[in-house]
Amino acid sequence: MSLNEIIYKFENIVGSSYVIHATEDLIAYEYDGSIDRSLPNIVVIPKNTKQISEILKICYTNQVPVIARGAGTGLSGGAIAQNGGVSIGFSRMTEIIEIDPENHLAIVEPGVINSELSEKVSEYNLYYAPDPSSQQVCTLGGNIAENSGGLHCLKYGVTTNHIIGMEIALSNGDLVWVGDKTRESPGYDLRGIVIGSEGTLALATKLVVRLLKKPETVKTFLAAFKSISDASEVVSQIISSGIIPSAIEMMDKLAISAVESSINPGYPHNAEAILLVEIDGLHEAVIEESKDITQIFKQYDLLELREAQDEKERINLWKGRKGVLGALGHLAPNYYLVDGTIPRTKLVEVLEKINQISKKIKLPIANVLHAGDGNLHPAILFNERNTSERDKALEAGAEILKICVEVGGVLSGEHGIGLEKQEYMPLMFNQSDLKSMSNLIYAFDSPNFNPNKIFPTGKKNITEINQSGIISQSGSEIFI
Amino acid sequence: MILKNQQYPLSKDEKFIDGLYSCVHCGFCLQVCPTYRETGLETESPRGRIALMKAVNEERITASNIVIEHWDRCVQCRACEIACPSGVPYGMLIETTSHSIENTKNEFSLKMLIKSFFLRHIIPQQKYLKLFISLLYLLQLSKIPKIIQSIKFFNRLFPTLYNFNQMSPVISPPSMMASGQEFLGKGNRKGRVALFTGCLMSLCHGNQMNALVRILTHNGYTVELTENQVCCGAINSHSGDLETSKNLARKNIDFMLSDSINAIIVASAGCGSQLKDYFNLLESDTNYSKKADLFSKKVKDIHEFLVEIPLKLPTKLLNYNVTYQDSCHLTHVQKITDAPRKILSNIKGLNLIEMTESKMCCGAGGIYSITQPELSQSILTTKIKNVRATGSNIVATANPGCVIQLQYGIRKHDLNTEVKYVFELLDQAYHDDYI
Amino acid sequence: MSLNNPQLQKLFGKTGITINSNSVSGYLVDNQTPMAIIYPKTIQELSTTLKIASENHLNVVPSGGNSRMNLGNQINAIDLMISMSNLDNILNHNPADLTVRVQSGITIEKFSKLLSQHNQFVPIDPPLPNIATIGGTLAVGFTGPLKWMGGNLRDTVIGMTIVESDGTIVKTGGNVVKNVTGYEMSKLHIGGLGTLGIIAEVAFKISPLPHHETTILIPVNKSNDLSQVTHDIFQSHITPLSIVSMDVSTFKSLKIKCKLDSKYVACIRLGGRRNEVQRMSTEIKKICQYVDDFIELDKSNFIWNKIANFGYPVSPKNRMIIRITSLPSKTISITNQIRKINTSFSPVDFKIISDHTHGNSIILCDNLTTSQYILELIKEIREKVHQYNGCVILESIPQNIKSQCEIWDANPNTIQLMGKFKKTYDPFQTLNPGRFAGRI
Ligand SMILES: Cc1cc2nc3c(=O)[nH]c(=O)nc-3n(C[C@H](O)[C@H](O)[C@H](O)COP(=O)(O)OP(=O)(O)OC[C@H]3O[C@@H](n4cnc5c(N)ncnc54)[C@H](O)[C@@H]3O)c2cc1C
Ligand SMILES: Cc1cc2nc3c(=O)[nH]c(=O)nc-3n(C[C@H](O)[C@H](O)[C@H](O)COP(=O)(O)OP(=O)(O)OC[C@H]3O[C@@H](n4cnc5c(N)ncnc54)[C@H](O)[C@@H]3O)c2cc1C
Ligand code: SF4
Ligand code: SF4
Repeated sequence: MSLNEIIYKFENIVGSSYVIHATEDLIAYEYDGSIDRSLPNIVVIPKNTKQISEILKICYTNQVPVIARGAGTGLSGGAIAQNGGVSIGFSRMTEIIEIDPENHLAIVEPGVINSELSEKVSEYNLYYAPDPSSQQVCTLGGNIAENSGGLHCLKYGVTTNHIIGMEIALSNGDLVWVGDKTRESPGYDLRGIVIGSEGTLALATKLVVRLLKKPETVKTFLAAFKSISDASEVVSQIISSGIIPSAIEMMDKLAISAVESSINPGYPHNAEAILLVEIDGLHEAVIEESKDITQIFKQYDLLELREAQDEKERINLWKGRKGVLGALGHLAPNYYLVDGTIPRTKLVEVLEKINQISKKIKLPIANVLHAGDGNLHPAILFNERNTSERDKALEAGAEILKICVEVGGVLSGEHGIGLEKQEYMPLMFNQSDLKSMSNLIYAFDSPNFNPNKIFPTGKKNITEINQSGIISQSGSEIFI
Repeated sequence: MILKNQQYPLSKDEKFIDGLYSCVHCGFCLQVCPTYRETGLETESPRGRIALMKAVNEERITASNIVIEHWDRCVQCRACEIACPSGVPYGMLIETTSHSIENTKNEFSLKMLIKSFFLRHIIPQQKYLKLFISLLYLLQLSKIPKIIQSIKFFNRLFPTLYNFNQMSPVISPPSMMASGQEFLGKGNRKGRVALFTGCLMSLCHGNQMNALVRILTHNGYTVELTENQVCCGAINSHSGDLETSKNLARKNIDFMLSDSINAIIVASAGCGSQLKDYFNLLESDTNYSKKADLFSKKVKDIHEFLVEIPLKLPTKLLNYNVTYQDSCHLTHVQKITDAPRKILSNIKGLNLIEMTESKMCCGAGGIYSITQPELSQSILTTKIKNVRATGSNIVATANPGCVIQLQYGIRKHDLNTEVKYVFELLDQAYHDDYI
Repeated sequence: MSLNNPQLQKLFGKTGITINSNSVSGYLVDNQTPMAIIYPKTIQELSTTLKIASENHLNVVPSGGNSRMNLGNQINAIDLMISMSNLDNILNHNPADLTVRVQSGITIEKFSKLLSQHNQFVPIDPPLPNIATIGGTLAVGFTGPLKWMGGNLRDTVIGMTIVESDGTIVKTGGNVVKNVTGYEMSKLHIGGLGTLGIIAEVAFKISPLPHHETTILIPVNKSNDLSQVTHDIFQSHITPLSIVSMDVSTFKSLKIKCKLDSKYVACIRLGGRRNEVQRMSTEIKKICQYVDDFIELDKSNFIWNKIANFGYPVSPKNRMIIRITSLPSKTISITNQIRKINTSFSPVDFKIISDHTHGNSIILCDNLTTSQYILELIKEIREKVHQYNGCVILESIPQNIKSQCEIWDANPNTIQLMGKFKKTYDPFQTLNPGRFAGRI
């Protein structure tokens, strides 16, 4: 079938306003939140599952690449059509089909925006827990594809822990339910397999999400440290003491000075590192836990320990954390944001190594981390126009990821592999591991779904890697 | 139809280019954009529009009609500017773009007629505008609009005219012409302010302008209606005609800027944003840049002003359920959201019910409702749905464009709700306090 | 394909792997005896075993503690049983990081003991913890009357090493708590009943044990009151570890020393800081104002062990265990309907425990007689459950009716898709052939 025939067929399915094929229009679909760009051949924006199914049938018979697209905020190039093909947009599938407050569930279409779901169910005193910093814009479909995390996933878990079941569309257009409204459903946990598969196995068309009751009490602390190793030790201490705060976030001196000069949330200037710790739950538990946490803090020589006195102060404390990557724009034109996870007990060691790398390459590295999970986000500051700086930044990024793996960590904590890190996969997995994973594509018969992502192509060497997504231009308030 | 497509960069201005590249396509602006929300199309989103600007500027594509249409569909509500964490100056980008493409299109259409004739020649001349509005008023008094509405096929034959007829503002005479009048402040004199009357507002909503004078004098301010003041030029700026808008700015500065006034009060959010931006507009005009700066600093939105002084508390009880629509230019450009609510909360008996997405545009956008009727109306329909859900008997807002658009929406959707300026309610609540 | 003993010795002789072909009679699977039981001591040996088995088209049953071997559809054929009992080491426990990695043959008891030394736990509480293994429990994949907030068992696994049907050793996930590197392959094997591969190592994220625990028993006489109580507590702002209910005869059968005069009882397990638990207990009494009697038990672990062991250790021949999953709000209606069946099939003795946070009920039916009658009963139960959109798993049914009924309710679409997985990962039907949902 020719391109024009496919376009014609799509127009019959969704109407001509929702089939985009003029080059000028496709330009608005060549990017996502990462730096790569590539034009799809067609963008089609269905309104319902039936239309998706018909579109997929056509793509399947013609073996056309299919790239799902949520809000296009992904940071690893997941929604980019690097080999052309059909991009299927979910921006019109935004219905909340059912809210079941009785069973703490909702059934939604995948185009629903993360924070909108929480707003809609808040009248029942419920909320949807995973809260990526992009929650105001990213779709739940994108969240399931990336298995997104959030600030509060330390206590409440990531996306996969909150999706009970899904209706999925297979590459041939068949619709299948994997999991349902009940917590246990028979057979292999295909739900768990599709979540985090970055749109390569199946498209989610309906989601059954678990909702949580809003916590009764929330307390937020800011602790300022004289050394980054003290701060890291405190993180390990809190975790091993048996308290699970809802969030533990860390920022180092460079990150603090960046936010202080632009957003001014009132973090102590002279601190080498700060921690933001939040605990929530029943009032009594929060009181006791905050006592224990304060005890831990007090064992260290703190510059300051502050507890947010009201909601306004709490929001202000978080404002600095939220704005940090945008604020880094004040220090350098570009940054390369690395995402990796390490065991929490290795924080001191790894942060020291990152510091050494920074000294070696003579480029500043700002550390912002979901410390409670051991999820690092070192941002290597550089100037893209200076090619030697750029190369050094890329090499340093690779080196940091290698260190993560060496200490028992992993390549990505929440942004996914996509185009960005596909070449690094062999650092963690050998041929048989990768082969077993890629067998899923055969089991789902989905070679045309988001092709050539996640798995290494082997063609590129590490410094030449197309650094999709990792060199973000600075200036954005990427609150990872 | 002749197309003269843009084959060269939109602008080589460094500020423009820096602005373009400060967008890191993070998508944080998508959900606040009314046109994206209505269509679900990335091409109708801020990020998409910027991507198209980049592509044209990089000479990857030409500014074809397809591209221009996407830019034209922007309501210029500037909600995206607020949402953007990277500080992308979207307002500047779209204005520069509109300016750059303005001369390349010479296709004949009603839109062009409005742009080239109405905006350039009628609006800037208060007397022509007055004539126009008076004609419109006479037309409204006659039965013609009703007749037009009842002709079934009119809609299909002349859709734009039909829409225009439906959307035309309810005119509330007498109009207010600024001709140097002065109204003395009551009680303890606190100072002197100049009231910016604007074009449309003073003509269509003269009654309401009089209320403003009552409110200000009641609060102890002498109000002058400076003679020879002209339209603020916002509409010209938005549609890319920067020259006309600079000329208008110079005139307003010449006539209104004076040491003797504490503030220039403006009640239309759109005009206020433009007046506050004169310093930027005339930045490179050596003769005016300083004066423009002074001028912009003196401009105060009425709500902002009243809350700052602070206003005298009204005594009359108004038992209304009111919902407040944040006017785009007040919210996203002037960043004023608390002041109008504070004023409303000072009125006894008044119950403020927040609607869902009060900060989302209503689709008015200057001449947008006429040039992009379909999109404008679908945005409006969503807005009316949210208004209806509050069950309020009044929807209050802060900009004439919004008042007119909401009135139209309420008529069209048969809602039993009145549209009022926030200060109109204050005026009502002062009723027993005026002596 | 069947082999005789010398052939088998020939295949495995050189490998040095422990193989026992003498006392196999105790290891019946669906009335079939394996030819031999193999005891790999290392993952490498496990891999070699599977490689040999698949190359020779032998059918293999992986075995943990053998406590749940009767679950599943009738197996097609069995040649070898691979016992994981020698693969029971703790590989890496990092208490400060709240992570642990173990070999899958470790018993739940040994595993829990290790963790509890550090005041930690993983929310797994299968019956017979002294013999049940981590591998077997994950392969079965049920969630017990566990911790509501602890989440599902599957949510606690952060990494795995799997040996696939052809002997390939595959690693997935890692040892850290947050990870999106590649596909989450472990999800295939949790609840996969050992049909796609053998779980060799598992990494868990672990949770701190609650400082303090209390159980509140709420006796009520009307089923309406029972549903009110469980509903109101589930909806309130407190989050108990478990909310479970049963009728009094079931309660009595658990042999818990506690006198109850009511018809039903709700058991609420509370955990957390002492003050928090106290507050929750006061709240419960406030929420359930319409109840006059509460029994509060401070040392209550024994109750929960009994509940976990419900129906075990011995399943008498004429006993059937059925597991039902539904929306929590439907649990009581379903169990009421099922109890009604009781009256039309007179001598059935139902014992039912329901979990109101996950919406599970476990039903014991005792004193069953003819197969005809059992099959009818199953049909009847399925009908009732399906009316409420629930689903049924026949956990344990008499061997002689296995061939006549499907163990799992699964929709044909999904089964078809699952079949593709079996084909991909176990093309020669080496592992547990025919035992899974849809006789995959
Ligand atoms: C400023 C910023 C902050 C961020 N913060 C976080 C954070 O804190 N935590 C975090 O985890 N991530 C974060 N992200 C990354 C990103 O927002 C998430 O990955 C998000 O889940 C992507 O959602 P999306 O709707 O934008 O998906 P897209 O980017 O459009 O797509 C992402 C992937 O999902 C696939 N996909 C989309 N819809 C479907 C569907 N219905 N079915 C199957 N596949 C589908 C696509 O093919 C693609 O592979 C951040 C990004 C930005 C720009
Ligand atoms: C009433 C009841 C309540 C239950 N409650 C719970 C509960 O609360 N929590 C819970 O977690 N479980 C629960 N279970 C499940 C049950 O306890 C487990 O099935 C049991 O722990 C199995 O352990 P095992 O080592 O004896 O497995 P086995 O009986 O040896 O094997 C069970 C199955 O798993 C396969 N298998 C064994 N080891 C492996 C391996 N390493 N890799 C792949 N496949 C393997 C076997 O082939 C077999 O099909 C419950 C079961 C019942 C009947
Ligand atoms: S929010 Fe700003 S940086 Fe992000 S896409 Fe929109 S304009 Fe670009
Ligand atoms: S100004 Fe308003 S309509 Fe235009 S792109 Fe921004 S948000 Fe959208």
